[in-house]
Amino acid sequence: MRSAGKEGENVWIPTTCRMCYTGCSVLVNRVNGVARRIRGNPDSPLNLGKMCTRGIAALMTLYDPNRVRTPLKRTNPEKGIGIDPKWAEITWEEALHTVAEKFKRIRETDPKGLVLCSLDHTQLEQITLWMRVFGTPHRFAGGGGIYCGGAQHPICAWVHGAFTQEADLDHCNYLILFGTQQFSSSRMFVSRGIGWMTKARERGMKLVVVDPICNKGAEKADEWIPIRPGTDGALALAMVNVLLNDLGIYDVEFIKKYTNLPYLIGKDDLYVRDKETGKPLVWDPVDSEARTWDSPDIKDFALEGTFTIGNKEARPAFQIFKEHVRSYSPERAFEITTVPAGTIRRIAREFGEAARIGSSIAIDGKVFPYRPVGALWGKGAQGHQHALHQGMAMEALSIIVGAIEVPGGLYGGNSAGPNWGPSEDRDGLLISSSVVYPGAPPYPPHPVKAPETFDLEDLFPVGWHTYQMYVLTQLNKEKYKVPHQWEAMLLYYNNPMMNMGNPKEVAEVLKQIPFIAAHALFIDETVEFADIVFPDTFYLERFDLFPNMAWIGMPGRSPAFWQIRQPVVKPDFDARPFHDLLLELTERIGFLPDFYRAWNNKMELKEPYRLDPTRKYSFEELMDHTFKSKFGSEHNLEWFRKNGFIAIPRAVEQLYWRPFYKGRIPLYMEFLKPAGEEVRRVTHEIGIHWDISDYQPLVEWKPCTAYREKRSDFDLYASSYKAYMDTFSVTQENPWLQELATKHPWIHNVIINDETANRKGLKDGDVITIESMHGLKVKGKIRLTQGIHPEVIGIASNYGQWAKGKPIAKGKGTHDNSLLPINVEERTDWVSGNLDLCTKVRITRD
Amino acid sequence: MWGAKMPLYVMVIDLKKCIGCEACAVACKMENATPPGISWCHVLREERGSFPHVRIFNLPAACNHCAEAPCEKACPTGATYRNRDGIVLIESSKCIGCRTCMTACPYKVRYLMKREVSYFSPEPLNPYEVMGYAQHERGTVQKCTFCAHRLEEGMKPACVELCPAEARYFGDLDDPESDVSKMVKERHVHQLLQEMGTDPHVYYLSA
Repeated sequence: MRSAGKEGENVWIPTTCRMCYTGCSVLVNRVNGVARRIRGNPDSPLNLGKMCTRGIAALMTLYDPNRVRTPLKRTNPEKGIGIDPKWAEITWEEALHTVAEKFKRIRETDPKGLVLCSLDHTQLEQITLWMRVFGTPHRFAGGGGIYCGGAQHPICAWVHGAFTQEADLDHCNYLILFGTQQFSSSRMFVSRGIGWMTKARERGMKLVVVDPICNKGAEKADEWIPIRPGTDGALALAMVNVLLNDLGIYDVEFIKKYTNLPYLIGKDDLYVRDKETGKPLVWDPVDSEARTWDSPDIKDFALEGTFTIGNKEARPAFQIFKEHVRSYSPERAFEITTVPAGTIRRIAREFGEAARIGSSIAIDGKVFPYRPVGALWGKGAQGHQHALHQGMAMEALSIIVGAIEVPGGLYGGNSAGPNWGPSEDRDGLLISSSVVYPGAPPYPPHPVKAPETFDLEDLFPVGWHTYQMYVLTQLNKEKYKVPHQWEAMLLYYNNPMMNMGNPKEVAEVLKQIPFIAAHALFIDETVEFADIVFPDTFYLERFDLFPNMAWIGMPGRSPAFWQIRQPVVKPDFDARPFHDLLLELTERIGFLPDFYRAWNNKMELKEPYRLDPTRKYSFEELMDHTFKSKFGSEHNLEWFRKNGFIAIPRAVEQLYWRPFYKGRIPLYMEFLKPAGEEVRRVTHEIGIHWDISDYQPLVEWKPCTAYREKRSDFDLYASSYKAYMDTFSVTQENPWLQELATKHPWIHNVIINDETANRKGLKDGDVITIESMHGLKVKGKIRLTQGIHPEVIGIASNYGQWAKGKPIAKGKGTHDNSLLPINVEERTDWVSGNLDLCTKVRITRD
Repeated sequence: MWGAKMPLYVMVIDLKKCIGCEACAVACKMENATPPGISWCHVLREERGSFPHVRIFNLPAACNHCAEAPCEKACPTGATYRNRDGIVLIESSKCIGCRTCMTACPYKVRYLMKREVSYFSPEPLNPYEVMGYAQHERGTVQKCTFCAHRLEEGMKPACVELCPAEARYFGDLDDPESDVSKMVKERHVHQLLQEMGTDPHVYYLSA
């Protein structure tokens, strides 16, 4: 199949894993031209030589004979699920010519008519750069709220100045995980996270996992607390209530210095501002005087009381917040969550006491506040209609005990580094560094205006991932009136048919797009709608520049880190990397010089390494120039090929940065109110209804669509969970991983609590039809377990694939997203843009 | 070498650390290129307790390299033997594939290597499979070797090196300074089916 390499060759080559989006440093053993073994790079400060289950299995994806091996052209104009595209093999030249001509016409008429559909984080900077020069803002990354979750990023920006957050397992003594399998199966650096969590547990850290399902994240927990889906926010607010109002356990110093809770709030729910400077006022109880938040004269901050400013009454946000959460009694929370009131009181007390408020710790000769607790939440807990409020409720737990950006608590990934860090605005609130959010961060709120893009970003002043709006705006063109036509889509490393929601709705959208070009490893469920397909390289066959996403963040006290991905083997067919396709199209369409100029600016290339727009460069040359400009002439492409990465240590103050930056945490989300008013004004002007009731400063638990379903036969929640042997929808075709899934009692089945099954007269192995409250149906085989909440059925995410081009994945398991409608407006969180991932179902035996 | 002390290799698996991620199972597959359906190293999963007090118990299992190996005694041709390092191995050239050892093994961790089939059957073997399967003699019984070929190169077994939880320890039981000898001596370890008198060289620290 492949050309044999040098006889007797046996080398280990450093590169960057791509079996998830993390990018662990790996070494690959090439023997006589064949990639034979793989291991973690023991020298890497990122993953410390560790790999996860998926990473180790990479060789079987590399050598999958079902990969796309030649450019293809669709000959059947009809498109749809299960319709054979009738592919014809064509040359690269014909494929490139066809696509370049289409894109050229679109660029000449309206470049915004091109949508790039990609979730490849490891090339994201280059992809977005290319889009900008082409002239389109449209990146349809699929999975709106499906992967990270839409509320995660705004809240992490506001609280941590970061894209994501994690727990300081080096020091944490009491960790609560809400709806996340971080450190065992999900999110970044599972490879390293597993060992990190193991050491923390060995050290005696107590782990409490709140989740409807006792999955990999909960298996090793000291305590698994099963919860009704969509109610984590109510549990968290009840705990906040117990801490603030019953136990009086909260970090007064932290709240005064690092949150906006001392700010004075008027009757209109807004800050009371200084007349001259416009800055929010606080009350200094020592001098009995109102002062701006940053006044050097402040002797203390009042947290409670009623004060008269001018002729208006004002109260500190803290007092309002504290009174507000009083309505979340553990008894009320029990009714909502099914978690017993006694358990809520107990874990609130344990958490509060473990926070050791007032204590400090010395690290590297510096003294920091020591708050060894964290409440970390993920996609599952926030994947509901009121995602932003759910998320903020859980985040509030760590905030009120001061466990943010200090040893033992939660910290943001890469908020601060050798030459970057968060700043603050006039209101004293935290603004993320541009290293973390190269565009506009989720705070301050963006201007609201009539929508100009398919994701309706203009109507989400603090939202971040609103990708399902591509479906809504396309299926309701008359309503949203986005002033562009979706003329073509370039698809690369994304499968929205599988990963968004109801695939029939996604299919309707795909059918409406006049032209789809795909760059793909496999003919998957979305590629089946393409007109032209280019064969992609697997990660072991290509170069990538900086595949590690500095903006997402590195684990623990990792250094600032730049790594190379390089080819280990050559495919024996003409597969090319996506960046080569983009460069080729750029040349054919005719904007190569503009692209080079943009590259010079984006990568901040210095002379003599700036690109000459009149020349032509290969991608390897672009890498070489970028490396040398950034790290000096000796650190060229060859240096990176040999050494793999460059690491620049971060000081302890850059990880536990809270004491060193002024920006405050907006636990009182004052800015949401005017932002919501803006949304109301603009949506009223353009004549569409928009629910702005979640644009409120005080965090609240509100019932999601599933919770509100009261029909007695729709008596179960369908909840999906991440299988530890898979990444998104992309690894199910790997036969080693699929073998693990097949052997596992849960993954290909629909899990249900024994007692629930008994009550319904169902037994292990029964085939059932699951019908969601919106009338969508899937089939599955049930598996009884004690490890699931009795009101819930559990489905492993992204199984049940059907594309013929992935015979290993095809027909195994049940497709969770087939139960979830996209084009139902109330299923979107109108603040964060998150899509609701849970539904109520009724099940019947076939 | 006359008088040189040979090591007695054993493995210790800390069940408190193991989270059942099965990285070991895939690592074994990758290293030893075992064909579809055969995994020399695997993780047994058991649900214990009742809702909401549920525990998932994971038990990584492979050949135990028993000091009193029933497979060795049962083998009619002498193909199964313990090498000088205490590792139970199979001399493929002597194995006639009679499967007596498979019946004798109380742990059921021996496998008959049948005709090589690709993971992507009906496609032919891919380049990795061509290279990897070459080490398996068709029609013979095979199993975990403690990665004896890696030990010769100074490396640890693949499952040990790639365990992200660092739950696996490997070393010389006769070396009083080794991690494994200290663990076996000082901590509460158990062996699988201890009562059968096989004296396995894989020890477990309790969950």
